[in-house]
Amino acid sequence: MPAFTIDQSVCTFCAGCSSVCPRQAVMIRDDCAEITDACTGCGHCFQFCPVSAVTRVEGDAP
Amino acid sequence: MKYDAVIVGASVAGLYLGMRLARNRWRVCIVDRRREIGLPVRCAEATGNRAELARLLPVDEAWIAREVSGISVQLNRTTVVRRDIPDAGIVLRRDTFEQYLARLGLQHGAELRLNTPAVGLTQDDNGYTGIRLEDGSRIEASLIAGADGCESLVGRWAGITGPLHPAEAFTAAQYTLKSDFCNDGLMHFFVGAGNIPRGYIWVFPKADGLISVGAGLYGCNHDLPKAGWYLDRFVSSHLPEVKRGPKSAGCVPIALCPHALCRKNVMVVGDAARQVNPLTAGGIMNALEASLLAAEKLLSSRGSLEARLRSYSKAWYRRFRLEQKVFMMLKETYLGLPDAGIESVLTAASSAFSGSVDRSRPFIFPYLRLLGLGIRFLPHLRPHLRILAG
Repeated sequence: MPAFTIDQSVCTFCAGCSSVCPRQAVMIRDDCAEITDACTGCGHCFQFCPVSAVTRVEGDAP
Repeated sequence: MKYDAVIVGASVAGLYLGMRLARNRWRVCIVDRRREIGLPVRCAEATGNRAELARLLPVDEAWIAREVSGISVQLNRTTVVRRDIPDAGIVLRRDTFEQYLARLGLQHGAELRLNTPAVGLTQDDNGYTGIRLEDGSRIEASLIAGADGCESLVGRWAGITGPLHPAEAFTAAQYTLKSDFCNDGLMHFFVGAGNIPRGYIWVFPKADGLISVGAGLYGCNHDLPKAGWYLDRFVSSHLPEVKRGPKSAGCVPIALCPHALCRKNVMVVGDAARQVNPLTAGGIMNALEASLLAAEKLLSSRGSLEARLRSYSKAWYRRFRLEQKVFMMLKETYLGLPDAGIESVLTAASSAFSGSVDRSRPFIFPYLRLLGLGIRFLPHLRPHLRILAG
């Protein structure tokens, strides 16, 4: 399970998280952004997102 | 059908490259995962002036939103630079501009497939043969061009570029608002810790009484809020009564471009190739210039396709690499300065370029004054001089 998730109501689908993801674990479409199971939990997407749409999945280690 | 070129990414670089190749009878297919050309707009839309654009393509009034007539820089609450610069540049209607490029490409016979995500490259024993699409189908082509922006998957698949480190990204958020605030034809920049540390806020004039207000940060820092937060704070403070529409956001690579922009028969161009000014985070003119350069090399009759791609890569490197390094050094210097230092640099730089600057005529740099500036601010520049050697 991915360590992070994307709030679709906040996300602007700019693909910035995908740009910094070292594992190509973010799938971006026009109106949908999803972090897939390829996520290793590095947190680059979380650190990056200009509108704070990426949040840590509760219970996951930092 | 096998194409001469498949281009991934139907934005400025991809559309312009596709148009230039199609105009010379290349069979070109451009794919993009977006459903509409030019939308959504994730760009502040300021670019070169008419003369600079006219070198690259016929200028159409439909995609010019506003002429820019100068620049203003405000440090916290104090204006430290305000200059009239005739013909400083234009603010585009970026969606109309990209649709215009797409129309030109289609007129020349290029094929455009929207809502078509590429998911990988295909290859055989001899090299890359094309791209694989999400629906499982393939597009075969002799040349594969990645014009797929900051995230450039094509660059990654071919091993030309890697993921951006968060420190190598300029993250930005923007509103388009109806307001008279700073709506005077100048490009307004707001810097300083009171506005936004490690970045800048811009207010650019647009057509129909609109302005774009954006905030951008150089790199990511866990200790700082995000660009969107600084934008909301600025808008709440300066434009509390204005109704806000949807916020857009984006990412610009501010890394140096890679040494090689191609591998075998795959190339990258535009943001995908990191062809961006690291200080301003502007990339539209660079994307057009690089696409033109690539098209010129590809259309030359000398050598194999791979040799022509290497020629594009080397030519870009020779022409723009040093300039990119200088701007990278200036960006690092800017980030290392306290507000008082920013004020003295901006004031001194402004006086070095005293008098009005007319960009419609050849510009003569005041080299002696610039040298004086370099010496005066050498202690600030010195830690970053190594960038020039890299």
